[in-house]
Amino acid sequence: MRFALNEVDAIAKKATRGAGYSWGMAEEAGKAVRWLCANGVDGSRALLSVLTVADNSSPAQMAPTGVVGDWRSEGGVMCPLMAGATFSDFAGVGYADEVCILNVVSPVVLLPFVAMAARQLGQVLTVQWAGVLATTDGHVVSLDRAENSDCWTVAKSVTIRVGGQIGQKMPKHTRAEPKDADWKTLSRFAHRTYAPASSESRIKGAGAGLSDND
Amino acid sequence: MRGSAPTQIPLREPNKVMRLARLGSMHQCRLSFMRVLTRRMAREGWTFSRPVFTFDAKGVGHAVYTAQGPERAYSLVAFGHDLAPEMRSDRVIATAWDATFTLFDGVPTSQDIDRLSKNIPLQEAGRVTETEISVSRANRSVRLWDHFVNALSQGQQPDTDMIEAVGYLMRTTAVYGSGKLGAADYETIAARPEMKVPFQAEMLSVFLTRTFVRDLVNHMAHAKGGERAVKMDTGIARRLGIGNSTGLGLAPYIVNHSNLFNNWIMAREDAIARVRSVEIATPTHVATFRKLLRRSEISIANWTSQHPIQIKKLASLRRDLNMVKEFVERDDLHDNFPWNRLLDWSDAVLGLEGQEMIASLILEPYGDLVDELAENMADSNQDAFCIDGRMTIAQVRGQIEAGFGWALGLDWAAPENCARVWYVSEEKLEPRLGERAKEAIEPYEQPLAPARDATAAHVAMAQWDDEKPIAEFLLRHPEHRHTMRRAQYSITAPYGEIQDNTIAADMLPIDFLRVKLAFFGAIHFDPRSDRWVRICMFANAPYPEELTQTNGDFWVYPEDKACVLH
Repeated sequence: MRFALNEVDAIAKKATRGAGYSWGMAEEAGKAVRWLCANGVDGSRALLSVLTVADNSSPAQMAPTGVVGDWRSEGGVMCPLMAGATFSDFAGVGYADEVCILNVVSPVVLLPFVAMAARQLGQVLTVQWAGVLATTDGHVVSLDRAENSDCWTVAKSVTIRVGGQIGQKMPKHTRAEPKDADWKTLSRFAHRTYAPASSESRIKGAGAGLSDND
Repeated sequence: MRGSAPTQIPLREPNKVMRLARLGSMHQCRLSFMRVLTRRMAREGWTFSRPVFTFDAKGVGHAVYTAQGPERAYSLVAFGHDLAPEMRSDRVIATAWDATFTLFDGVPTSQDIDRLSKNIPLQEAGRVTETEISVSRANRSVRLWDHFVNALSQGQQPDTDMIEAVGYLMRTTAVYGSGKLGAADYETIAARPEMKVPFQAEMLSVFLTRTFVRDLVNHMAHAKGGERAVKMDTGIARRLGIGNSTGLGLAPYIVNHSNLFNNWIMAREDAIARVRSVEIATPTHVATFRKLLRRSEISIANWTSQHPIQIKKLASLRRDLNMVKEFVERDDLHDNFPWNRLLDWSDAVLGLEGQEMIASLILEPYGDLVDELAENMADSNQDAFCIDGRMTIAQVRGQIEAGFGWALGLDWAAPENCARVWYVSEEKLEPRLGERAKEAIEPYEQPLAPARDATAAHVAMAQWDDEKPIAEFLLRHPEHRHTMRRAQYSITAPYGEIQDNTIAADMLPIDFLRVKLAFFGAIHFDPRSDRWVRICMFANAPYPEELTQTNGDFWVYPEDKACVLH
């Protein structure tokens, strides 16, 4: 099914919250998935890979422990939302010319954050992992993938460096077309943020008061 | 900038404007979205047509109303249904309605209408596409609908007292836009001049819906009475607006879109400051103000509510209005910054309803000075979302103290200070408000208590060095990320935060609804409980075929024969 980008943003935000992330990170996830879909990447699939791992671990275990040297997480697997947000946060503060992030699940999710950093810096940034090379100035992105390369599972190491040449730009999209099964699974994560119905809540929660049929 | 005066009087401070009680007393003004729309359509000479209108005697069928602007056309596609009375409800949890609508981008083909007929009547259970801009529904007023159909079918005009008591034949119960249900994302229309001001598509949809409702009631009366039936008198038709029932869904909106909300408030505050800075008012401007003040009296006289809170506020407003009349009788409003004098006086003696009514009313003579501010009301800065990690702890602390200084000393554990929980029910995702101590809903709490969360972040920052960048703080405290973002917003959006406790035991959700609806241009706020409100939209507005530059602006103030604005 085809979805509006706002719908994708909304479901990604709720699903990320449902998987145990903070609201601020959930907002990042919404915008990140929207960006991926707008650039023709299956953002729903990408996020789902992250949330599935996080659900069996915890976001805190999957966050970078620091920004000196190679970036690692406490639990071993790195969350691209946490690493991406950190990368963007530190863009203006400064880090080494080349950052290496270890064991990143669904590394394609880093791209929207790298794009945010590129916009802040006014520079082109290049992201590389096994068989994949992505370059962005923050506005457009090129994504070169070797056959059988993988964007969703764990990449042993991802490097991000200043500079690079933007190749063939990804065409912009105004709709997202997630797989039905992925959308359903995201919806199940999102559903965790909804309170179960109760008769008291039904009567009082939205207002009761005077008649709504006169 | 045409006719602008150098602003000398400063804008009112956010800590004055952004209190819930004041926001909950806001009135429409000339920057309200309905009025921006009718002014534009009148100025640009939009034309209107009704290419399709097919209904049976029960009101089942469909219609298309097309509005043609200078560059593009938009069409309201309306579906009428035969709704069982027990199914009729204004709430989100309803599953059927008297009428359902979409605003189509362009002119729909018969294939489009066929597709829409399978989806629009289902509302949330249906899907639309990028050619649809909004999706909405409406229910009949039980009190007025049958009376109108019966009276008109027998050749009689309806009872005007009943019209004044209700104000509309149908009320909308939701107008979805911005990509909801698969509709076009706002970004796809945002660059169009006619869509640049917020909610123009939704307002256009409601404007055309009002015409559809008039036509449908005439049609059903004719179907019932045949030759005996008469058409609704144009004067009566003019008095009818479209009602609307609004619940808790709007409250999160203004908290979640703090930059957008800031732009609305700031545009109006800027307008107020510009008019206060007018040193000498011309006789024409003063005459316009006096005439519209008289016309406001008519509108306020017609405003009724059964809710104790609003009954009290209306009594206060009527008292205020009398005092304003006395003031303007003894003051010529000519020189020595007359509007500033009036507002300073109103601050000292009037209630909040009266103060905000006057603040809106002084803008009316000064379209040349303030109308351009409507262009700033959209939120076009997408990059604002990106956190600038270079901000220092001291800077963020300063922003929190400026916006939430009042909250930092509050005991947030005290039951009365954290009594409420905003949540979303799994039941059709209806937004609700619950009691923290009595219901097991805290795990589902939405982030709608910025003051509480800012206090928590402020405490967490206490041990941090002033000069540390917040990037480092966020690495350790991702739970404060949304608060850091809001603090950053507040640097450029000083009116973005409600400066009150949004989870307090005595917080009134209707205050959130009131301010948003006032910016839409709604009048006659009629709370039906502390958390949902009925309003009226486009009452007294010209119908599309009547719209001219003469009547396209001040229609919101009803005319009486003794008081015609030239």
